[in-house]
Amino acid sequence: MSPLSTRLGTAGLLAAGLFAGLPTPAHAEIYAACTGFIDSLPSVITEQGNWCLRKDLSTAITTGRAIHIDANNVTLDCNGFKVGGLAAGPGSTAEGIYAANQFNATVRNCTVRGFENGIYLHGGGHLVEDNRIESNLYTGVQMYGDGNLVRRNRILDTGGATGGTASNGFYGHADLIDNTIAGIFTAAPDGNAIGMYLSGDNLEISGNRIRGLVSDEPTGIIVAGAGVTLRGNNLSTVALVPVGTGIGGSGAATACVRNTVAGFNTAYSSCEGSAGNLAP
Amino acid sequence: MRFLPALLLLSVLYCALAAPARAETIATCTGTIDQLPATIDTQGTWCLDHDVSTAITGGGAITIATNNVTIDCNGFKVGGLAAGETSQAIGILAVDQHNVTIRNCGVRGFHRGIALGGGGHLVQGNRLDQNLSIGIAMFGDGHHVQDNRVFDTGGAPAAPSSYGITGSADMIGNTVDGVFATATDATVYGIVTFESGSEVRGNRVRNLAPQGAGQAYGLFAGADYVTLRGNTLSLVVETAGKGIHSTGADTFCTDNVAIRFDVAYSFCTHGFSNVSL
Repeated sequence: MSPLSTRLGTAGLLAAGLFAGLPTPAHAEIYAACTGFIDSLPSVITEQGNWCLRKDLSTAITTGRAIHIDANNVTLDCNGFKVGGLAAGPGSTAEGIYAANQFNATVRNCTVRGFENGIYLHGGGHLVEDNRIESNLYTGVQMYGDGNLVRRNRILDTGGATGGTASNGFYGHADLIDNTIAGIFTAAPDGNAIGMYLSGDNLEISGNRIRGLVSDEPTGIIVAGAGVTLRGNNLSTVALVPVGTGIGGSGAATACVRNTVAGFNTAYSSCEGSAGNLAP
Repeated sequence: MRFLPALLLLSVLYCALAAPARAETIATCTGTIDQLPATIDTQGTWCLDHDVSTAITGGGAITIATNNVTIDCNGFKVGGLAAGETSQAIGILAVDQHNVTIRNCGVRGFHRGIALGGGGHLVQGNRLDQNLSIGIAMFGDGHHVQDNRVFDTGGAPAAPSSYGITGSADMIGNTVDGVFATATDATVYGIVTFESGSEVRGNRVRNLAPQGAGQAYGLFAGADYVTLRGNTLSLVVETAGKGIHSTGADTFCTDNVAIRFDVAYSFCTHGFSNVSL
């Protein structure tokens, strides 16, 4: 994030321009639109704007935050690079990407692995999209506040915190659209593997894929709020015999439409309004 | 010349890394918009690389005066809050142009956030908040409005109605959260389409707050042959109004959810798998 780093980034782009005729990456890149770069961990962002990664980053911190967003209106674009915390081990309580009481953060194109919570955002108006969130110990994504949206993320192999009795792909308050959650487990026996736990009211969970829940009593989706709509989600377990609950509504104006649930003992619970749901 | 070795080294590094990424358009910009108000009269891709604001109370903060223009804000803000609640200014404006694209913009504090007339426009991936009357307004045909987030629209004094998104377009995957009005008996609308044969799909509309005898409309179809599919319309308390209402012929409603409207579906002439609570 230093001025020198910025100048080197500019020079790199100029150099890249010399190779405009060569085969290009699959997508464009965002370096030129960056306010600055994050080149080491842990890092704190205190200025609004677009902050970017241009290489993989790792840390062995066991507490605190690898990237702490400490301002409103911050976009963090990892450009596909990694924010890694695996070196801290299964006892880590560090957060990967973190904001508290901030608004309008966007986190995109990040690979986040090895933290207690991969992404933890508190405040409101946050957008988490197109990330790969892998091997985090307790929760893949955790969010609080109004106006949050979580879409097109892949949340893989979440669990394993030392002594942990519950693991969640997602936990908190957001619209959840078109995400994949594959692999939820706990280190402790008889733990709870939960794909999504939604605590807010009047939200939507649609088009998500949840599978690979390893637990005696797994739950695909738990809805704790009122007025929630679950539409077009596909849920399955890996258990040899049906266990747990696929969709557990709150009963308070929970609408379930065109979902598919397989491998759970109870496919649908407390959906007050239903249409077109399937279960074997 | 003294920079040449460094450039060559960086070039080699670039080739080795083959950087991944996502869409941004700074590197391919025709130019950048550095201050407001601004008028675009040359075709191409025009970008922001920092937040820009203005206190104008009329006209457009960014006026697009030619066809085939892309505005890519790269996540930066076009701000108009300083003009206050009586502002009549428009954040991004095109009166009668064609093939305009607006993407990745934060637009806040205008009477209308984005207002585009003409045809073939695309409005995608923007965040609009605290606009006073309308978040996004589209006029003409062949428009597409997708994956925008429209928050907290309303507050223009004496306005009889407020709209999250309105006009002639396909409306796909948008979030409209918070539409309110301050005038007596004002009506509020989440999403309105006036294009015959258009599709309104996968949108989320919530927190509509009419005044007095006013109504709350989640989705309003004012044309024939509109399809409304997989939309979620939810209110916090039972409210006078309609989840989906059509004034056109042969309206198709499927897989929608309407929560706490006193009438969930009105004039859906062909309905299937809709839920009301």
